[in-house]
Amino acid sequence: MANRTKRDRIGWLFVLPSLAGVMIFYLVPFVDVVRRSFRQAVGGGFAGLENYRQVLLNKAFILAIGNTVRFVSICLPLLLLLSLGVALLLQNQKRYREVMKSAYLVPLAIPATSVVLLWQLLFDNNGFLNGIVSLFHIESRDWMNDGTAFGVLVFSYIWKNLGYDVVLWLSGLLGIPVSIYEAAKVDGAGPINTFFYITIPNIKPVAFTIVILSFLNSFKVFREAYLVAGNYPHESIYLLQHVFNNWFSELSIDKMAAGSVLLCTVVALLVLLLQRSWDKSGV
Amino acid sequence: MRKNSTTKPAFGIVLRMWESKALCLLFVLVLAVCTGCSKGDNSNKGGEDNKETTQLNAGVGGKGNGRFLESEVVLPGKTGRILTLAKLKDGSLEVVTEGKEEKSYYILKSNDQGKHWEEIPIKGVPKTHIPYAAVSPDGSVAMIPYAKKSSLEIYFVDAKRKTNQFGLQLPGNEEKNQIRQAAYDKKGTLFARDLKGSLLAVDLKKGTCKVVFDTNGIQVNYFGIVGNEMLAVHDKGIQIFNMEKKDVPESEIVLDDLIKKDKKLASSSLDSGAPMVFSEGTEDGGIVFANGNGLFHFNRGGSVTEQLVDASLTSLGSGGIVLLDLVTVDQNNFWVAANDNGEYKLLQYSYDSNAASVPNKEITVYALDESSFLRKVVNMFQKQHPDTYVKLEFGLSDDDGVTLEDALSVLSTNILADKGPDVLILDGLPVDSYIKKGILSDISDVVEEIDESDGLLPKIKESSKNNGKIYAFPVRFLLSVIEGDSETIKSAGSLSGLAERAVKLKKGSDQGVIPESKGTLTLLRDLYYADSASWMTEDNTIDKKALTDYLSSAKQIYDVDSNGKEHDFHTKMGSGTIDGVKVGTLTDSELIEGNSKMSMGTLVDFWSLQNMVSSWQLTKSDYGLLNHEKVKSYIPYLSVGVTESGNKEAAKEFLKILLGKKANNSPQNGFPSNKAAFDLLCKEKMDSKAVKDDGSISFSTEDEKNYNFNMVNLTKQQIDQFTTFVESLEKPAMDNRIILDIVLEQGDKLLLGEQNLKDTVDTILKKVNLYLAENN
Repeated sequence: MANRTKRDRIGWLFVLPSLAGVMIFYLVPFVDVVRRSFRQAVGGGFAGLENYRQVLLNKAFILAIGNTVRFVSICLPLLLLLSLGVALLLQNQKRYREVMKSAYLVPLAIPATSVVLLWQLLFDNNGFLNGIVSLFHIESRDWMNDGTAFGVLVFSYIWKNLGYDVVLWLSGLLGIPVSIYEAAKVDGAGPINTFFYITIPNIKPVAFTIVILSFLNSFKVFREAYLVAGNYPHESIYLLQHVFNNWFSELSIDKMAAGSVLLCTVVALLVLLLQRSWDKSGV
Repeated sequence: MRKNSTTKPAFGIVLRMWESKALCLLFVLVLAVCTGCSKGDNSNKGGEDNKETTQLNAGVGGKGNGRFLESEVVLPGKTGRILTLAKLKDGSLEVVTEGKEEKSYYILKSNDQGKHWEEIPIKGVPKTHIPYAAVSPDGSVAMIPYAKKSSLEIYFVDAKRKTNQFGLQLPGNEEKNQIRQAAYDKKGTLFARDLKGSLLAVDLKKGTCKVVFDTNGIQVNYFGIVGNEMLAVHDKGIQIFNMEKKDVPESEIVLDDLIKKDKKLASSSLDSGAPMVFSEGTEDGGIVFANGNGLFHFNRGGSVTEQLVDASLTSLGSGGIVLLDLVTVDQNNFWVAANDNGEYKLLQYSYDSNAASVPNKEITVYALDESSFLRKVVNMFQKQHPDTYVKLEFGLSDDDGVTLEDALSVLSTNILADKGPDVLILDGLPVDSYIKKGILSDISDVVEEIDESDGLLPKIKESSKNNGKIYAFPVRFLLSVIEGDSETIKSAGSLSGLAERAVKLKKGSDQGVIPESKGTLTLLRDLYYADSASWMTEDNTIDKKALTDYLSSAKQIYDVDSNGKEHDFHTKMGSGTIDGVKVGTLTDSELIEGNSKMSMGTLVDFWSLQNMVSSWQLTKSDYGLLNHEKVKSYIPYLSVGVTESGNKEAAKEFLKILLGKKANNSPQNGFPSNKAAFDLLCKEKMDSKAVKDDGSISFSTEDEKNYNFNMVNLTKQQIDQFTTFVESLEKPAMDNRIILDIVLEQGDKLLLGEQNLKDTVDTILKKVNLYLAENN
């Protein structure tokens, strides 16, 4: 018992620096954000739930919420399925697996500013894409300033994060003992049965991590959207971070705090629900 | 067993020691982080990060007494322009001036540090403009007029005040050459700099001069003589020549770096002075120099510059000051002759051991854009309130690539951290949002006070009210005008009328109608300022019809002469501001050349008005308010507000000076909202002797056609007409830069044919309404 307490103490000792960092730079500031969400932006007078009311009635916030939900609900399944598909293809590909893994990771290594430059070259009015389109006598368009902007953003997110997810899936897939597959094969199981009864149950623990990481990465796509289209992009790619960024510039710290608390609550609930459903399914 | 029984407790002790050490370390770490995040009062209040400068006597936060204080030396009544100031061998001071009665020159001599002056008229010099003079250590004076080609007559007034005339031939017989600066050294040798930037030693008796220092082809912009050394400033730094050895020049890292960092210091000396002046220090090898940043001392070969006077607390920081000479009277006394925004002054900096070493109060004035007008007002305030230090901050600058979003974020952070400014210049800032959040305080009391004492333009005052209160008030304003024939002016009552008129004028004509300088962005911005005041609806959205009409008219006008618009003034000038002034885009030159039949844009100040009226001698044009049938709008400039959380009392004192008559009697940087200043400037422009000095304006075109017209005073009728225009202005143009940027970005695509009208209007509406919705 005494040994366990000492081990716990040593454990805490190692965790403490990181915990202190998280406390100082995340948790304590977030407590301040919660406090500010109930106060006026300037002067600090108590505002009750007024900030929350304003945020929930704010058209810009509602648009951004809609776009963000739409973006996540399209991108997340698409990315998970595509990356799993590629990982499954690579699972049995021993010769080129490492080369392919590296190739898929290249987009992740490209700095955001270079990606933005690439976007501009591709999607500008006088860019490559319009050049190609004009070859087929199709009218050129401003890809980032009409309905296609959302598609461009989805494409960019998938392109950038696919490799990362493939590597994560692969690590899960390669962790499944080959003997299980061999035994199933001896028992006459086909590739579909093997996938549903061996692969899926065995990669569930990895899947949880991948879903959470992909979900959080989906918020980072704002950086590219902001650098290409600025503070006020086409309405279809106007995301929550745009609202927060602009609110900060306009000193709407009260609304920003209330919005952040709402967002944080929703994300935390989602993660907890996800974890619960995972736990229930016995992972 | 023994081992076990002894090891375990020892391990436990070690573990506890580690724990306690780790906890201590962690505690120190957390403490360090917290300390790093704490407010701290040791920030550089001057806003400058100059490691090589030590501020001994300036800046808030220091302790103790003792500071150099500025005072203006009173010169005898007849004194007008100062030509030079010098300290003689016997310690007396001598000033050469031009009298207020034109073209009469005087030597003023004082043996008691300016308490009494002996005024000696200089006889035997012609009644012409003499730009330069130099005083030798024995008190004799060389008066140097302009040269004809490369020869000139120098008038030498000896120590007994007898004037002799000497002919002088400058280098370059057949070419035009001039002396641009002259000064004597300790031994009484006259040195000069010519038009080519060469340094010459002048021999008056022989009537010759020779290039005395080899500058390796570098053009010297100005020079100063300190002891046995000549300090020659050029574009890339400074060369120091030893007057005795006359060998290879030396460099001085401290001064070199200073000039490299602040390119304005290297600019060529003008007739009226230089950006930096030098004098001997009180120690051996010491140099004292003054510039727009203050008065400094350093020792040759040293690495530290000692700041004796902080410019922001004195006239040196007024923005428009040009320096003539600096004299070290003694270690506690320095004199500077200067041209302060056209006014010649002799400034004395004396050490007062009883004065607080630093002002004990501070206010911060924030503006997005650099403004020389604001610098001048800060300087005026500083002189009237020596106990208050004014920290002037500009959010955007051309050098460091800060964007509007960056600047707004920094400002927001400071306001939220209770470190925000006390006075806000609201040009380009989200004023409505600031009012809504209670950041700005009601300044009606100050506005009313100024209105009672000086008067304010009534409609500008009225349009500044927000629910009966005033949170922002434009100190200056600009207006959108149209220039051309009477039919054009009549048609320009609306933008659509102007567009129709432009199309009509173009029909069957090969000549240009719209000035070539109106590229897409310039044109859009000019018309935006004339029209945007009518765009906002009551439900705080943009009126679709108004926006459509504006864009459609802009497109029509642009298409009239869309070819050959290579020069876009707006694009060339970046954000559309220069030195804090919204660019007056009204240009007469193309009307004069006959390349356009109308000119439209922003009339920026009285000087522009006078220039426009003078140009009518050639164009026979007239002018009117642009778009006046739809909305009579003005462009607010230097809209000022006071923050609720700041030092309101001091901020309002500043506001009184900023809005007052004295600060606003400048004919440049916009028109004043202060009625007394406005009337004064109107009067000046009707009956100004200065107009004679303003001379004429000449320019030539690429095909070598020359145009010339004289500047004229405005007639009473012209002033009355202008006053009527100004008094009719009712609403401010929208000055929100986020909306302006969106309109310009999308409008540009429309004018260039990359996007149709409907899509442009829809895109602008979506983006702008999204912006407006964020703050609802």
